[in-house]
Amino acid sequence: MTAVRPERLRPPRPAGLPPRTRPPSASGWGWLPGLSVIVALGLVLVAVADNGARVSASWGQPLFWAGLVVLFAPVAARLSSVQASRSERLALVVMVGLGLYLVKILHQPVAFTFHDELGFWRNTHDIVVSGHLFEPDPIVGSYAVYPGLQIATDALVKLGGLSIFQAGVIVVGACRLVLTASLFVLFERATGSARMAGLSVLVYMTNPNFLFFDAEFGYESFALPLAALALVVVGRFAHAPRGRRAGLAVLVLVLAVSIPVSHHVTAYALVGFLFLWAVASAWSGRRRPRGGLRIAVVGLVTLATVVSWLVFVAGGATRSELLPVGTGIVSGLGHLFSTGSGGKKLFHATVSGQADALWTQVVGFASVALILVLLPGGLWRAAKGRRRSAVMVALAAAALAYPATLGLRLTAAGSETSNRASEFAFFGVGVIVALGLAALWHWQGNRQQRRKGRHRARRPQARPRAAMVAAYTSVLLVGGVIIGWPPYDLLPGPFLPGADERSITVQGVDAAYWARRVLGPNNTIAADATDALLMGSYGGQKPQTGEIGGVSVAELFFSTTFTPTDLSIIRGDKIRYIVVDDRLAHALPLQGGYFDAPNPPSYKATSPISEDALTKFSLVRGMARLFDSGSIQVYGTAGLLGPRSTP
Amino acid sequence: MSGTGERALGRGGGTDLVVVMVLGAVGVALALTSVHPTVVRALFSAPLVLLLPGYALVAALLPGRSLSVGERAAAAIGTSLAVAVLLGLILDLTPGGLRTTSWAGALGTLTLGSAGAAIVRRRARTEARRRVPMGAGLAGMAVAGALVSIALIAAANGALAHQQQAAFTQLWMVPSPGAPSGPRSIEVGLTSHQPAIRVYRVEISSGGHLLRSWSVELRPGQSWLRDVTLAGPGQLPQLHAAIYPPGQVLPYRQVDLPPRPPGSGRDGL
Repeated sequence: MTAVRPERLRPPRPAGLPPRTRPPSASGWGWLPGLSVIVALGLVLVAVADNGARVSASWGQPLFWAGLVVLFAPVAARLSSVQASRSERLALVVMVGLGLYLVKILHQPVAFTFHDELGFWRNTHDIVVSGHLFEPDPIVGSYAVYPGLQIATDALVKLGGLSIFQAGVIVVGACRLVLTASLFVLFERATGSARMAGLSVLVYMTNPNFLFFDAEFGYESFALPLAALALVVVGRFAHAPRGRRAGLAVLVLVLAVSIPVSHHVTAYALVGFLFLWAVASAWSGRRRPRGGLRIAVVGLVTLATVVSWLVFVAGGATRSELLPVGTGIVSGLGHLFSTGSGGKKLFHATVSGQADALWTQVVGFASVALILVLLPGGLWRAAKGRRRSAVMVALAAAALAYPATLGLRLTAAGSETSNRASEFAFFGVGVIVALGLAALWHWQGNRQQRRKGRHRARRPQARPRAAMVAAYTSVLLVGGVIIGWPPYDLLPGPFLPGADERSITVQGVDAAYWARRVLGPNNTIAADATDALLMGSYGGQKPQTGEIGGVSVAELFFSTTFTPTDLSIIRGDKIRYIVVDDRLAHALPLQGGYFDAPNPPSYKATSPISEDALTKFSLVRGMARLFDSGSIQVYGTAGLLGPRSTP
Repeated sequence: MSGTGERALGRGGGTDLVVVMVLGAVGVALALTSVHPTVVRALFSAPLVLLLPGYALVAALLPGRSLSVGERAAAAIGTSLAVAVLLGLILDLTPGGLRTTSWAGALGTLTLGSAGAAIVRRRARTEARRRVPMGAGLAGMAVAGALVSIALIAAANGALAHQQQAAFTQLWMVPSPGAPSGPRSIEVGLTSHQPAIRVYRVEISSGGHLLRSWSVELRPGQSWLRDVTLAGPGQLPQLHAAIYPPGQVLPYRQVDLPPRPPGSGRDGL
């Protein structure tokens, strides 16, 4: 009997209907090779933009945005296609995730310059030298008591002979790979669709912290990917058959213990999400209630680790770091609602009040609006979906947290918290917005059919759909970057005072290295915020901030003559060295202030520090001007303090 | 279970784990022997920290095909990182602490032990091994890799060039480290971060009297250091050091040391 080809068994297709779309290939890389070339081209554009920005070329920033869109949009268009295989989708999102990570590396390819990175560099350096953990970190105390990132970096430094920078870049790059791959699997499980998973991860990558903050050498960059992986493994564990449960339990345990040791907030978010998931599982999985129970047990184990770590290791430092943030938000919001004043002007520098460019404000607002517009549709589709799962319910709840965090941006204290919350809320936003996009396609398809008098649903045309997805996600990406990072820090460039990374120059870095080499480590010093950061990290010194006897340490730098108050600050805090950067007298700080310590009451932030105030130390009898590199001078105070007492 | 696509045990069923064990052993050996160049050592030690322990552990705990390719890759790297954290906490409790030898021992033992256990567990199972297609589009990947390398090199060169453009020269003067009864000596140093060769006149003076003078030529990135011993007993006088470009009378950089007891060293700064 002759075999009948399958297509001959299908009924003929009615006239007038569009041809069937090609099914996705079962395996194979599809457009991945070509798109990888395009992603790499985007990186070349970003590299050229960065080099242009270093010499203040006006075309630097436009080229930067162009490079980002070239890197992102074509992949978004491809991920909207029905033809890409699962392997291709996974590879594409991992590639874009790593590509966006390289954007951050291209920004500063030879050394760490972000504030948190320098703090972690200091702690990692101390671990590398001493071989032991929990050395006090003078920059941010909590870094030392969450040593996960530092431990992994130390291993690579010692085994590979790499510098801390090189090892740190590799470790965080590996974490980025884990994050994107884990999110893809998590979203695939939630939606039942590799196509939705790819789009969900793409939307996740548009959160304001993805490009820079979660790519820096910092503890959240390390712990967040592990948390995403933990969710994937917990999902397997919850419904695993008996033979695989033990192995998965061990993996879950390893992750559940390592995350609280690495980052506090990620651990808290993980615990919260696990309990939410457990409740959703118990509510929606009545046929398999033990899944929810297992998830709850994992949540309890993680919580126990969190509490134990707080009690025995990290409680004091964590309280010092997080409590002021919480009270600042509460008091800021309370003041705003009760008096209507004290709010933060969006898209304006906090000190100079300078507004961001109009187009950036428009795109920033648009990116938020586009998310809020699609959230209802995505939530409706998640609720009506045939494969609604407990994890989807939990992700939907996380997405609902996003609008709530937007209100925090109305205060200066809450703005940073809202920013930091986005990478957690976007776990839900990513998948719900992707579902919203799918709902939009189907609505468009139905609308076209109704216009043509047809009653059968029609899939939207591929090209308009791809263009829409590419344009939509590109606006989210650009808007997210605008919201999450100050404009003067998007690219490298000439020195700016009080401007985070733009205030870090090779002159300041070399002065710090000089201090470690010549003065020795662990001396108390007074300096502006940038030089304190450099001296505290690369310099190995102990910068002094805060107040002494009710007087801010920063007062040292504002008085135009050397006063008895200055002498009492030096003696009270036993400040051995004073670091002066006379570039502060040229311009106002762009953000915050010149110093980590409170500004003196007399300083009104209407004009830069006077040059006399910065040069007065040369005239003080007994003070030694030890170092001069042009803009930076280092003064020794032993003539005022007396020699160190021998222990 | 039988059918096409299934592969009997022993025919490639543990090849990947053998590779893991070999790479792990090589990584440990290179780390312990501190072999140069560093790039060779780094190429083998990076997997030892970031991939091999997790891959072997996941294979030992889940010997079957319960994880997809993406899950297994993410789990291998993520578990390696998590395991490194836990091992680091344990090593911190040991007298030696986190050292090259302790890291190599811990990660090597975990990798080899887990891989061995995984091989044993796999022998008890018969499942088809899934192939991941690798051949297609290698040319495109190679082009992409080349472009990424170009971008990174361009950015690094740009950053370094920008650093060199921020031209400056450092001058310092500090007492030489010494015992309280030691000589009256100071250290004077210069480092040039100028883009071209620079010549400076270095002068040390006290109370307007010139004590020492040098003409110093520095290439970009070069340093010059002198220990100067001052004759005579008693307190070190006020000292002033300055550098002058050729033909200039105003100092380009200047530093001062106040009067101080002899041999007070750098503690007296």
